[in-house]
Amino acid sequence: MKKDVEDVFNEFGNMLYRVSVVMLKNTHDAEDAVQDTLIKYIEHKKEFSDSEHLKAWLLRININLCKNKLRFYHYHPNIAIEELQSFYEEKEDLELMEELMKLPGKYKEALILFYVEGYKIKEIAGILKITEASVKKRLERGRKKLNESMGGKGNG
Amino acid sequence: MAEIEDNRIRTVVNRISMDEGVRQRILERSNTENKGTKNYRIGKAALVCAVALFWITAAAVLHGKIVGDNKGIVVYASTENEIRWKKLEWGKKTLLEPQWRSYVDYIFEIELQEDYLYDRNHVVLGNDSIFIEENKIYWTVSEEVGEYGLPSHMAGTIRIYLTDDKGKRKDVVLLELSKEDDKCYAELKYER
Repeated sequence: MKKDVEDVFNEFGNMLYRVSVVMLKNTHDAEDAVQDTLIKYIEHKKEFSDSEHLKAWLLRININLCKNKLRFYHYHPNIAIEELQSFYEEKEDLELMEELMKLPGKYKEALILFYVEGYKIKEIAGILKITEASVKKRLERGRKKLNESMGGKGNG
Repeated sequence: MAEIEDNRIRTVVNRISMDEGVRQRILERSNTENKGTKNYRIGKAALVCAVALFWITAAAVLHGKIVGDNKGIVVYASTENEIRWKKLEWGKKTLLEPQWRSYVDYIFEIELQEDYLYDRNHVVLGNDSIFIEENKIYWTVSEEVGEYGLPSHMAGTIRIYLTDDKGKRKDVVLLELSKEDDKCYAELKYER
């Protein structure tokens, strides 16, 4: 039986919100992206084999919706620092998040799925519909860019 | 340079969380918007079905072939340095706008609906460089037309194969790239 939308939201809402904030760089658009993902779920007729299947589907839909927003709104929003400050007490953490947000979307999505959501490279390739080699390349380049950008900020 | 520890990325991202107000707002709006759009959609769906049926019949008569759905694929052409994009319409030859802040002249992005993957071949178009990486196609136009006696009008086709999750080919669509003098065009086509 298909899960109730509220249960899905309780289980995966925060995850979708985090991904959306990092992808879209502000909390207002992130709210819209999570909301649109839930509407897609409500409209989705098929059932999911298990919770992992549902999670991967939600992530794929959510990431695609974030990309669509960036594409169709014809803008690349600036990072709203004041919005982020409420999440962080340490200056270094805030700086790392800022730099993560500045990365191109393709690196961000790979880094989040790998480091935050704990997906394996093969699973990420399935979610993003790209090859495993591409996932590895994106992770490597994303990490390199992040290290370079944080290098001058006294990281480590 | 010290490297960022893997778990720092996780820790920092996981600090982001919704407060109760945001949670309530998202849930309420999701339910409301879904209900609100349902009735409108049913009426609209009937009208769309009628129009679609007319065009499908007309297309079948004109081309001797039933043109189905969009095959789960959308192709965008960049109109401004991968910030602005234009969706290519099926069967419509679209004049492309050169990128002015990129190393390549034209960029396309392929987007697939869920449960589809794609495979594709390469295309030769005069001395142009056409490079396919992941879901992007990069086209750089050669300026050696006269020198090598190449025609000023030419076209090449990229075949995009839609496959299932086991890699089995399910369908094919064509992206025709063409040049006419100094203008470049793209057209998304069904295979005849």
